[in-house]
Amino acid sequence: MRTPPGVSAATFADGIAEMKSAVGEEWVFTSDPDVDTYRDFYSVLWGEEDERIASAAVAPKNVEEVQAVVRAANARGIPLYPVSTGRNLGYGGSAPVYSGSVVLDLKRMDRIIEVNEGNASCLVEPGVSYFDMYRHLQETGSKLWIDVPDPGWGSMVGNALDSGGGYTAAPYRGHFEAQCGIEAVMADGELFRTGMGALPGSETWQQYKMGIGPCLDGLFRQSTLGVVTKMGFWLFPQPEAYMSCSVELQRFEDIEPLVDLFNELEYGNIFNGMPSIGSPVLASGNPLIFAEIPEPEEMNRRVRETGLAAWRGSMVFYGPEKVIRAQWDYVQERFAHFEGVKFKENQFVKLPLRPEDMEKIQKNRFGIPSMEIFSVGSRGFGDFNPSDGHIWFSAIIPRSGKGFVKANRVMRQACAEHDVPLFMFSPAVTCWTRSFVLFAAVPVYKDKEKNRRLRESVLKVIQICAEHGWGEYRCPPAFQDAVMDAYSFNNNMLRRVNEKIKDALDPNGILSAGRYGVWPKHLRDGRHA
Amino acid sequence: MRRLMLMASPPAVALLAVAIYGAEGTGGQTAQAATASPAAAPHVVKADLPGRAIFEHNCAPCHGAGPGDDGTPMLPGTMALQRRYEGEVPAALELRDDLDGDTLRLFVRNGIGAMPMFRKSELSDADVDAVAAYLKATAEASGVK
Ligand SMILES: Cc1cc2nc3c(=O)[nH]c(=O)nc-3n(C[C@H](O)[C@H](O)[C@H](O)COP(=O)(O)OP(=O)(O)OC[C@H]3O[C@@H](n4cnc5c(N)ncnc54)[C@H](O)[C@@H]3O)c2cc1C
Repeated sequence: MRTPPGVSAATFADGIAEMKSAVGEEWVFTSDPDVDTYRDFYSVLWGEEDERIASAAVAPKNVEEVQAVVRAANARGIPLYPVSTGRNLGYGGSAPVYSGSVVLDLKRMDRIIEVNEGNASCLVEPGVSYFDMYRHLQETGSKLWIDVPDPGWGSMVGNALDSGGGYTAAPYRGHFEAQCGIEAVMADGELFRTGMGALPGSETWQQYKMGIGPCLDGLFRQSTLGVVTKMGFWLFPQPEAYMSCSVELQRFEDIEPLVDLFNELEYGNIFNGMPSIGSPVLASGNPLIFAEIPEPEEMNRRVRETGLAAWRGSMVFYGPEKVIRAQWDYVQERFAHFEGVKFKENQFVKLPLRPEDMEKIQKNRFGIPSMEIFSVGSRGFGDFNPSDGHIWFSAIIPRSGKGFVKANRVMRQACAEHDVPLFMFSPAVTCWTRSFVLFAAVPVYKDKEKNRRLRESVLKVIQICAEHGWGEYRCPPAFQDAVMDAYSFNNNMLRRVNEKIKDALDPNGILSAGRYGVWPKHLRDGRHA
Repeated sequence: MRRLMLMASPPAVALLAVAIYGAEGTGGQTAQAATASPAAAPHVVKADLPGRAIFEHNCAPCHGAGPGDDGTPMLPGTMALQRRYEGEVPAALELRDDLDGDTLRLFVRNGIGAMPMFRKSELSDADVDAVAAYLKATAEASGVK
């Protein structure tokens, strides 16, 4: 049996025995083959000494069992790493950040506690996957939609806690923003509820997030402070229709007014679906890799020569047909003054979907989970080029034309200079409403030398982005310290405050040690000297 | 020889439309590229066994026999097996009669390519055996010899 560092074999065995009596022998995994199923299959440290590996795993079935496991760990200083469905591939899989932690696997806690049709909300346990929830809504004839990330096998709770995102309307596609009400087991085993959940008898836990006093939901986002056992979400009442449209503009110089106008239109509720700013003239090679944006004259020359537009702003409308058609008319009016502008209605779909619609639609825009993304996910594009997975590099950049052009150029150049291979580099997109994200997918191989070089290069790109004021919103464990370091205002006050909260709420430092650069006291010293 | 007519013919060129964080090609919001054609979904006669629901919930989203979303020719797991075996064995698991519980477990517990390991908390050993029995019965009912 592997043992967590700093915990004696006897203490660990004793803790494991207590966990077994809490959850049942069968749900405590200590053999190497079982524990190895918790490795991060897309790890950039695969097979190396520093690979993040669990010592054991425990899979409780309910809150009481979670509390018992946490108490057993807290009494003995055994590190725990909670995961929901543990499918965080590209950002760490189901492996702990701190090697030797016991993975607290919440997959078996898979109850859909409530779907409230009138309030358009739900309350779920961590093991509920997007597939599970979709199936439930279909089977019960619900008129509500979930918002899904690309892979449908993940957990609504786990994805939201890592700040994941999806594709439908603005209030739903930022999954942490769409949460309303959290229940968590704290490091001492006590049960905590945020918002109106703190008020016994309230019927508004999934209606009003804030309750009284400071909002504490954020304590659980990308955090090391609790084991989330229930989470509420707001759901999207199925709209009457869906329409995706785009505006094509012909000159490099149009990018700034394009983004500004898109912002005004989205923030003014003229369209509510996810916008994307792409470039037909630059996407004519591999469409998954957004090319480096050239200088204005060069881009304008290519536009003239190919007849392809310089920019395409795509937007989605969800709502009653007559309303969204009027909104699209209004968008066209607002763009009419651009020279050479072209408008395209790409797809109009009446809802609910009919079976024959299913082959035409992009499922994630309709809140339908699938695994389709893995057709490209780690297999290269076009040519069969199997990698062993990939990691995501996801930088938050300004939502302006200038900001986008600059970030695209700097990141593309940095990746080229430091030999970071890419199989995907995104246009300007956003799961969240007020910023853009540039996503890059970097292939990973089970090859130590390649991975070593990859890690060095990614660290350099993180640093270059930080110098420009762009920070990652999320990243794999191998880079979490570096990314947190980049948020360095006032001598890394962000990390220092997080550490103070950590020390107060988890004095023995047992929960999710090291996640996003926040280490418990006993593992911190010397690390940031 | 367990070669299937539908899978054996070399794929022609058609469109794969994928959307990955809004990456886009020439046709609107989806990226499009040339890839294998949508071979007609193979005829699968699903066996009425407990393993069916387990397969449909845990495996079929990647390894189902039908076409993928957005007009892609196959689901990703099926597509990967098609590329790996080039038609020597059926790409759709429901047409394989040669996968016993131990063979399935090897892949399920160790992962392969882009597919990660599945843990006992999500798929027990008994579940894997039930899937194996379902696959074999389905392959036989579907006329695979
Ligand atoms: C091809 C591909 C495409 C992807 N596309 C997307 C996408 O569109 N959008 C997106 O958001 N992601 C995407 N991802 C990333 C990732 O796969 C998903 O976000 C996935 O949903 C995360 O895994 P999970 O839901 O199983 O969460 P988990 O792995 O269960 O949780 C993630 C982390 O949150 C913490 N955590 C989880 N549960 C708890 C709990 N109950 N208490 C305390 N802490 C907890 C843990 O630190 C855990 O490591 C993609 C990945 C791949 C490989």
